[in-house]
Amino acid sequence: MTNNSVENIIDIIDIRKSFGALEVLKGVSLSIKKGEIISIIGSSGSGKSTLLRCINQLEQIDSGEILIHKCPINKKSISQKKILKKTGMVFQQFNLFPHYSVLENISKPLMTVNKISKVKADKLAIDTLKMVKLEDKTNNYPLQLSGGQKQRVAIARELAMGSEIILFDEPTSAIDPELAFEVLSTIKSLANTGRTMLIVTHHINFAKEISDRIVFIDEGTICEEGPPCQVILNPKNARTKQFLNKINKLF
Amino acid sequence: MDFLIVYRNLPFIAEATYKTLIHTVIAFAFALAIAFIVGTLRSFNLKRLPRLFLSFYVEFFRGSPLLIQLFFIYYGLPKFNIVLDSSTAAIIGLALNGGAYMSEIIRAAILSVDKGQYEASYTLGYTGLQKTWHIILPQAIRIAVPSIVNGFSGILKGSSLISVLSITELTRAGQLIYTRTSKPFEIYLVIALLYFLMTYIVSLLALNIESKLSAKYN
Repeated sequence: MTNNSVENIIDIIDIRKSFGALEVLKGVSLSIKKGEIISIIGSSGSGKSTLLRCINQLEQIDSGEILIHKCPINKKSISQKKILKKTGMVFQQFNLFPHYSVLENISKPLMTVNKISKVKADKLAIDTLKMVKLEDKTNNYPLQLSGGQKQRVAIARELAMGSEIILFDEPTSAIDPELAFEVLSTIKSLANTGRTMLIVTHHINFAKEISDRIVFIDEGTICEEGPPCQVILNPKNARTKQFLNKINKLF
Repeated sequence: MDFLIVYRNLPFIAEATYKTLIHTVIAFAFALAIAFIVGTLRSFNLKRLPRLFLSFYVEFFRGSPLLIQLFFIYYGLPKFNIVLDSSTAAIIGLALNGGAYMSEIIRAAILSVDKGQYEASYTLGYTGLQKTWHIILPQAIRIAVPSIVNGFSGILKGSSLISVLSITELTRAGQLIYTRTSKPFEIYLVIALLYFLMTYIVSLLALNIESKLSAKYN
């Protein structure tokens, strides 16, 4: 799917981010093309999630630059808001709105943010719930769903909002391994819809299957990146090898 | 025991109960509005000046006796040509005092809403106001309801102090009947029961609201 003629949708240029004395990102650069699916792997605390959170401004970078559609996002502007609207995030802890029903979790943001009428919003919500196979849960509340179902609602919410870029921050880490499968297959089903997806994950096999490119982050820097066949099956970096060895022993 | 005294004074007591209730309800409505505005504002990262102003309001009204506040509003403010009738002064005093306490309840409830809710609404593109109104406050209210009801009881009981502004509410009515009849046991027992009954009914009401609000979470 990577194609040189396709323009970059995200350019990350030498970004740094510290929390107090701890430098979490030590000069990360990465360019992502429209429609590309990238998995970010690495051990806990390596900076994967922080990288993702910097892209949609949940964290402010200390230096460097992030461009989306060639427009810098770390400057407050109206165009930046528009860009942020097109960047969605799926969180580890789902972050559904507990006071809204499943349907409302999708339709209310559409009405509030995108200013769509209730009738249209409800219809769009039901359509996207069908895509994640949860149309029978429309009137349930988040607390009545399993972790896997909650995450699928969260994904449906982003689909309905029309996010061009979806950032997945360890979408299956808080879910029963048995149910993680349903979330992963939902993500897989989005692979050819033209959306750009960045997925922070610990599921190496899933990453290998779905990604156009895999990025291995260690201690705040990108150690290795490339197509799955290279990074997973034939890693060049010693640290990548070590990481994958450990994971392979585990599973 | 001579509860006939109470019976004979029933119309008087009923009227006083009404006065207590009407002052309490109006003051509570204003206190609630103050609490929501102040509590919500104080949960934001405000600039120094408004932050100091609001925290001064809250600390001052929580840190000084309601009785003194009532005296000040009724007797003190005329010095600046602000002359209020006793009912208005009473309602302002009760509302400002109750609002200060209840704003802390709202603020704490807002701060207890999960951080993920803020992040999710931010990434979905909610503006600050939309986020507060649609996402944070509805969840905070559910948390705050039991304590807000306590706030109502507090104002109701505090309203006994407005008797010093010569408003013939329940407490003052009790005093008047007592000085006429010298039957403190009977009369104060009934007055206390009336206060209790009112707060108890409100507590039951709150329980009902609480279970309705929580229904979708269980």
